[in-house]
Amino acid sequence: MTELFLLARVAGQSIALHASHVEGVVDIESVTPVPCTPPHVIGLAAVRSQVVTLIDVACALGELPLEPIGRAVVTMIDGHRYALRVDAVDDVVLLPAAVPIKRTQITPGWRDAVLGRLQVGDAFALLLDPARIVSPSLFPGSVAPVPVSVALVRSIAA
Amino acid sequence: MDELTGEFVSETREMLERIGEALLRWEDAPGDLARVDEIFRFVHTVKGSCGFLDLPRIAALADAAETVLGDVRAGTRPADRALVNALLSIIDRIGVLASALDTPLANLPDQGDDGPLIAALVPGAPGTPVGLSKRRVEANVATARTVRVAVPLLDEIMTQLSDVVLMRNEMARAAREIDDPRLTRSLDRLTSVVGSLRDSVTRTRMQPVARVFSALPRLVRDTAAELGKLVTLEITGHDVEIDREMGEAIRDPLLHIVRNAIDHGIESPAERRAVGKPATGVLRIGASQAGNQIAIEVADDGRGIDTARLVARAVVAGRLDPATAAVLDPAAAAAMIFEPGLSTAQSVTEISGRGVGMDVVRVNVERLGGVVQIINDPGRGLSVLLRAPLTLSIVTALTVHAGGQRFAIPRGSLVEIISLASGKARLEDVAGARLAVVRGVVLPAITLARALALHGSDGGEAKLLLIVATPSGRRCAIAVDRVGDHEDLVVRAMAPQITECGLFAGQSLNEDGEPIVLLDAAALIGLAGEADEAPDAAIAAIDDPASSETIVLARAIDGCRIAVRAALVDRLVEVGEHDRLEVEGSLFLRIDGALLRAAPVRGASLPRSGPVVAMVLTDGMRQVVLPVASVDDVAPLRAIVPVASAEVEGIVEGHGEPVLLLDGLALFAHAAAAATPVRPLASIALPPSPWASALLAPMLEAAGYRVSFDRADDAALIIALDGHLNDGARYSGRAVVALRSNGAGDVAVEHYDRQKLAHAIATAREAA
Repeated sequence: MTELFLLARVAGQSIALHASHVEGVVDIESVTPVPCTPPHVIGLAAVRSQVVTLIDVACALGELPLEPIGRAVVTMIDGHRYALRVDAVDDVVLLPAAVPIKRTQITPGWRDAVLGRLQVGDAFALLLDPARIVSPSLFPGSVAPVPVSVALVRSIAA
Repeated sequence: MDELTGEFVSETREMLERIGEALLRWEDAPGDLARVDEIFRFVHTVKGSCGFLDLPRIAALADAAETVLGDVRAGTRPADRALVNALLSIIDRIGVLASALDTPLANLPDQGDDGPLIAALVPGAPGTPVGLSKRRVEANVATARTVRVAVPLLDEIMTQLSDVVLMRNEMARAAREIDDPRLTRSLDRLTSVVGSLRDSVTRTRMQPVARVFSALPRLVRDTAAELGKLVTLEITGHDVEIDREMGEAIRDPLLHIVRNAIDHGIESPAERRAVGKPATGVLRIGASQAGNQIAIEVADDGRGIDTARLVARAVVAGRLDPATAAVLDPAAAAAMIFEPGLSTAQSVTEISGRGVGMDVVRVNVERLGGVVQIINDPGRGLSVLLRAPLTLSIVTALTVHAGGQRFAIPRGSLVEIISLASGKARLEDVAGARLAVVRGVVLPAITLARALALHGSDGGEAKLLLIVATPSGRRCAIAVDRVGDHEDLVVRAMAPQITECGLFAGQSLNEDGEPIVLLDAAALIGLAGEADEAPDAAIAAIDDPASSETIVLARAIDGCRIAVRAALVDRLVEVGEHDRLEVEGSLFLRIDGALLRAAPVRGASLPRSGPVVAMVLTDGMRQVVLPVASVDDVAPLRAIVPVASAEVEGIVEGHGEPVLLLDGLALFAHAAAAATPVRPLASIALPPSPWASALLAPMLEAAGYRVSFDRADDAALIIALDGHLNDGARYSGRAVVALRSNGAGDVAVEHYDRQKLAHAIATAREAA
């Protein structure tokens, strides 16, 4: 059973995103910075008359930050639109499902975002979860996944 | 109402519409089995849905109908007129009950009536009235002029509309340059159409607030039962409309307020009886619309807020210092309920006492541009009032620049913009806290670039001060580099990674199509007031002129720089040349038509000409008028260097120069104890005549004198004829207005009008 995946590169590593998560690929030309945000949030950008939150995937995974402008993958998570900045976008391919991979085999910063490993010809690509990229779980320098106020409000309704 | 129930109601309505025909036909021809299939499918579906929706009444009715219809289909029961009527009544009842889930009806049929309806299905039971269903079906069809539209579609329309607004703005700018009248006219029409379109689309997003209230009856019932309390719920104003998004946003705060009311407000039946209240508590929830705001009030007749205990807890928690706590008025004390982490509950209950409380409610409501207010009646109840704007979507905002970046501030939050170069406002650093002094009033302040840790720079220090306020009246000053235009922005929610910091109210695209972030005024005010322990109480203290250490700088008539405490100054009035009187060493100034005694300042006399400003001072009971040459400015009161003098309190600093601060006590010692000013006496030394009493006396009174016809040795002014007093004695050294006779037997008055009389008075005084 093959599925569609988008192949890209981040910090020299081949990565993949499930096509169902991808709305499109864009070239970000200008960024509006937003103060008081976690380091992996580059700022806001306009894509087809809509505001998207620009996320530095490398930074989110604990790697060196990328340039703010460049290619990004547009995805929708929880009703919010994000653009995920990557080094490059390579292709969209049909591949068999990803194979689980031991957490200990993954660099710490990447662990929470990796869903599995895909075989692409002779090489491998790590399948990532966009939701985990934009909300990295607790590791040094990152922010708690769910904003405190939303959690509190939700707990009232619980 | 949850989605499933909502779908059930819509589905049921739709099905009823569809089988309307079938019902009518069947009524006319009970033997027509084809119709029976359709009707059977209806009750079968309804019964199935009821199964997992917990709607026992409808389930019972549907079940009974389904059984009978099944028999009719199988041929084991003939469908006679009586049976048809009975079934149709049941279907009517199902329709009514289903509708009531969605739009609460005023007269819901009683549950007891269901039994007889079901009983009517039994063979041989007495029949029910004929023709009911026809009318009911028609009624259903007539009222249902609505369609169901998917919410994402509405959102899409709103986004496209926002693009239209942006396009229109772009065209407007281009048209300004082209300046073609036909183009301008078309553009005006377009603007008006877009405005109407925006209103219409906004209305599609409106829903009756009843939707927001739908979960409440159940919540009240369950919570009351759980806590062993008896509560009656009254809801009014369910037709008031509210934006769908706003409705969703206040749903949680509302739930919390209601839970609080039942948990902490309404007492147990035993407690209530003990204080003479009926055992059942009343919870009233009402929605109303005022202008472009919706107001929702949740009122209970419980025990209210125990302000003493609340304040005590706040002091213990370090949220309030004992000194302030002692002078807190009841309203401010009750407002402490909005401080995070304070809970007056004896025990933190599962339901409402998690320390997540009214503070979160207020923050969330204010984030939407709303207000939460508390009206506390200790022992009798509590009323929580939520006020929110009717719609969220399009906000007029001002663009501001700080630290090289651009932000938007909603116009609704903006009170004033003041240039720091104008001298009307000033930024200060006092004990590490940033303050702004604006026309003598002190406000907490922040420099936006610094508060947001922005490193870019437009060049130079912040130049403009924005005064922002929340709907509840809290204020602060924000220093920015410059401001841009006002724009209409379609504001949308930001990703959680950005809203985390709590300073932003939303994101939008500006006229240039670039993303811009909307600042949350309430959050910035919170940031500014953070230095204070209890921001509201502290700001209230600062805003109170009596405690704000401010002085008014002036120049005395002898040229000396003086100052007076601003709290004492009631008003400043310019006094013209003709409004000054110096009588026997007493100074009088005519202010607002009344002659007021003025306090001598440093022994100086009033100048004949040249400017005089009267500083009218009051201590609440008495009034004193201080004549000065000019009033210069206000300044904060800093250290006072005491001086041994009866008149002067000490030396203070005013704009970098030493200034004499006049002693308020000494000033008021000169003041008249009575509120009415002292009027000098004018004596009319003329034989009484109609003219003297009807014309001359009023003229003198208007000039500020008391009038007497007796010889008055202590009169300040004498009106005499040809230099003679009544008794013929001559006068000397007194202020006199001499009237001359003109012609034999006639007394001709030279001056009838006030101006000339005043002039004559002045002349006479000078001559004296």
